[in-house]
Amino acid sequence: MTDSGKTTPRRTLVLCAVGALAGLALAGYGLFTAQGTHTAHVPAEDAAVVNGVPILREDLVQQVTSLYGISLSAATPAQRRKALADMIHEELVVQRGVEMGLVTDDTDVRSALVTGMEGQIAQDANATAASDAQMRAWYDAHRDAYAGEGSMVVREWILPRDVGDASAIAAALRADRSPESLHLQENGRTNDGWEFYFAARLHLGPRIFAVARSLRDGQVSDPIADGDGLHIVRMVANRPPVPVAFEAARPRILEDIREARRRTAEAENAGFLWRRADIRIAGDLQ
Amino acid sequence: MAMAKLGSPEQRAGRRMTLRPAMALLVATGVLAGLVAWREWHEARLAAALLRGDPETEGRDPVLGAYARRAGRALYAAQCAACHGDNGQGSRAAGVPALIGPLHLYDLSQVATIEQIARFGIRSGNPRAFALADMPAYGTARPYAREALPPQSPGQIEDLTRFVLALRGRGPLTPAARRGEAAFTVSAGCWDCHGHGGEGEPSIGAPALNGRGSIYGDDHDTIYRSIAGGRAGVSPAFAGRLAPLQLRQIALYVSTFIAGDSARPVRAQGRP
Repeated sequence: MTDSGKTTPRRTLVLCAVGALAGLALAGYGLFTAQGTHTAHVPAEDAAVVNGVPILREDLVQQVTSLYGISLSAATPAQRRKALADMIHEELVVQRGVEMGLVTDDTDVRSALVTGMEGQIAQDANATAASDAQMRAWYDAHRDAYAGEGSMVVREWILPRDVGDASAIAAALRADRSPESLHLQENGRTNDGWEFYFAARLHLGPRIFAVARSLRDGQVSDPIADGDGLHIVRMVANRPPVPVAFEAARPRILEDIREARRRTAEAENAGFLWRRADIRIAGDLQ
Repeated sequence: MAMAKLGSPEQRAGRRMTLRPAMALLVATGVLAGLVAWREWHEARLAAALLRGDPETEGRDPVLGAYARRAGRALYAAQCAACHGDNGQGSRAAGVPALIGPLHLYDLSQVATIEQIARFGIRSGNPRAFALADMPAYGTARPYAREALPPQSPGQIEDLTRFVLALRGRGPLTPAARRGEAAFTVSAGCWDCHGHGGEGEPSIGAPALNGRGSIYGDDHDTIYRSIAGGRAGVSPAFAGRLAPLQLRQIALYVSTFIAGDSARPVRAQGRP
């Protein structure tokens, strides 16, 4: 009874000391045998880890499908090992390329990196959404951009060099005299019926197109001086661009909003890179 | 003396009364911690099994499939439903394709393909995005940036529109439609992506034109606008935003839309 009731401070101290020594021993072992941070096992989402860089299982699935045209479960162990070995080899070569400075020396690598970086910015911008209010505001501010392409049916004549009074010919056409009776010859550039404005501009040239665009159905222009002589056009039918309704323009509006965000993000990224960089420029190039 | 140190019987009874609630709390905490730890361990096992499995077959596993679809439903509601709809019905107004129904741009019968699309997107800017082809804008001076294609006149686009309507059984094969067929199969190059019979090409995301279902609508004006103005829809890339496990879960959930089962409204669920 007396023995069981005794306190044993000595035993307590010994146990504490043993615990402390064990902890110190573990810490010392870990400290002096550490080989740098690395993953001791392969995470579930990875097929392999190469010098700390993961190779995703998802990519292995795609690689097997690309190589053999079958799913992962249908592939034999040898096929899976071959696909994975190819991917590991690629990763090793990439890492070696980075070590050797190909990122700075090889123009193709640099070009691919720039494209990748720009793509990353575009990816972030393309992941954004726009509310109905934002899209409506954009549409209202850029309504002209969402008009369809105008179209026209136009006839064009080039006047003979010895035409005399060109204005009289225009007046005769307005009076419904036939072009044949006036010995006019069509230029042949706009004989195909309806043309979009961009096509008419290409065919007529900017000066004559600008005049044609201003004409209403049936109107005849005054003589137009162009590089190769005098021209007259008659507008058969003119359909100016018609604004597309908001609902119909919705997909393009979202596209344009994202494009604007992408440009903004690119500019901000460039500003950030330049601001934080230490750039020294040679004296003669400043 | 030892008995004196322990205290009187009344004091010892008092200490026991104080200890009982504390012990009960300690035991309850231990049990709760144990349950939480077990749940975490169980989830981790399921997650690892899902990631290590074949995406084409694990959906059929009753335990893994249910686990993936449960998590995938919540992820779909948070990440995808705003565009693709609660039931995967898409949106013609926004040009977002339906995930249910007969028309798919790509071969979504493969879960791995769904996963890749979720991961890299479509025309998202990601270097591995699905972006092999766009719908050219035949009513512009330069219809297609990647290839020299001939612009089409308003009359030619009208003929093509008539032909596509006829393909879809929404119009007769008039002389205009026949001219459109000639352009479709020869001069305008439409067959190159959409196939000679308008059957589409899933490897490049060219939709079928000869059946039911459409992304933007199958009335005359919408088809005309698509041919004249072109189309190039975007699906964002979730690489870097969602973990590989989450991408697998979403893909397996979306595959149920494609398979036609479990297309229950997201909002009708008790809790995500």
